Amino acid sequence: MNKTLRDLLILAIVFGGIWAGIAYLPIVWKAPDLTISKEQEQKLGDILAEKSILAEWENINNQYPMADSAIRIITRRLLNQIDTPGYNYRFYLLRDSTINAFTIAGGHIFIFEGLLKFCETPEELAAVLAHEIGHAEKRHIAKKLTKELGLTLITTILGGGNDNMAKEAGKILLSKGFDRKYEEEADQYSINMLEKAGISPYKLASFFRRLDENGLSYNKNLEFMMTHPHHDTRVKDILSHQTPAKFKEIPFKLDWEGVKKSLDE
Amino acid sequence: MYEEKYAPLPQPHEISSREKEDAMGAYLMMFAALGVGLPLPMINLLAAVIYYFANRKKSRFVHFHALQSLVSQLPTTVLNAIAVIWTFSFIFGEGNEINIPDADTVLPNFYMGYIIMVLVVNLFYLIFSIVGASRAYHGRFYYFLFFGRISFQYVYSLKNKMYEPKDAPMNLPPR
Repeated sequence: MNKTLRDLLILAIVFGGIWAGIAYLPIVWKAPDLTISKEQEQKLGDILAEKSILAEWENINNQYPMADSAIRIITRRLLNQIDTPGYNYRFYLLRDSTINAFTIAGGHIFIFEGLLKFCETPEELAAVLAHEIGHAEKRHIAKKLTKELGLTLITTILGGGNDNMAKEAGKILLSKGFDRKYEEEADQYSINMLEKAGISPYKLASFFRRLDENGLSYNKNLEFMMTHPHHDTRVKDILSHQTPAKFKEIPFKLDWEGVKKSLDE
Repeated sequence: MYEEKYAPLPQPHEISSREKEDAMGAYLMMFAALGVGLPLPMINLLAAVIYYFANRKKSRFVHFHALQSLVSQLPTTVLNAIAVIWTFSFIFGEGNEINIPDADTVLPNFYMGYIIMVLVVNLFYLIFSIVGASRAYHGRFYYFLFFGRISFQYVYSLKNKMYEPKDAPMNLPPR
């Protein structure tokens, strides 16, 4: 054999062998974790909630005890489906007619008054909140924080940076939606959670549909879950889910119309 | 057989210090490019190409080492570039998406095999380059597997007329 060809073959076999050998080893290669820790996320969420969101919007839980109580009943049932919740979840009702809900970090979930009024049943609100819990539990928030704010800004805010910094960080977060992949993951999470909680997962699809049918009006500076595109595909994905035969719907025993009315009083 | 195809090999004492230094420089170009803050694989390759064309006519000895350094760097550069592109493809998804890996992110074994293979290739390349530089400085030949042979065959082949003087007067023995 030509010696040049032989040498080339030796190189190809040695290095190709290393590649193939490692590729077929039964090892699970974990990527370096570049997200912030849960503790950091919790602390950052507390700061952003206080300095950014609650400074911008009025928290009206205390003013509307009926609505507050309904939210507690709905969220308790949802959270009971998680073995060990990743965060100490807190749900805030905010004064704003926009149909929207969002989670910022560390289990702080915000519900606009407009969303509560738009939901025809408590199950619809439960579906939306399950989706938001999904974002938190799947650590989408931690990834979004790292991506949108960068580790330097996060460290500065955590280290006690000024209030304006936290305010701006909050605005940046609110103006950016989740990647489509994360929306689908959160949908999937909410489907499972709703099913366990005795709530039909199709409520999420019907909610999206009604949202589209009603011609969504929203604040253009906010890019939350409701304003996120791809509703059609997401509706199809949710509807393609088959609930198990033993699934039994357990309706909330709430005077939903009364809850909605109480917000106008 | 050898005499028919290739020019005679110079012995260490026949090679000038300048030639030895130039030959060593071919391997050290890579470190020089890194030293000035150019870790991009393509820049290293560019440096090697420039060095090769600037020095190849000095002597067969210098030409051989410069060519060996250049041709061994070619596949290394291509492998490194693929590794960089492949890695970036994980970070940047569709559109403007950036994937931040978390504790649950698993990397494909096929990709990790490639990355480790590329690291080994670079390690070999580094070791061989250092040894090559040292040997060249002492006026010695050092043949990398495959690349040494093809470089030698090209540079020392009698078909390579680069070193034959053109239109220069020739000294001849008495007739």
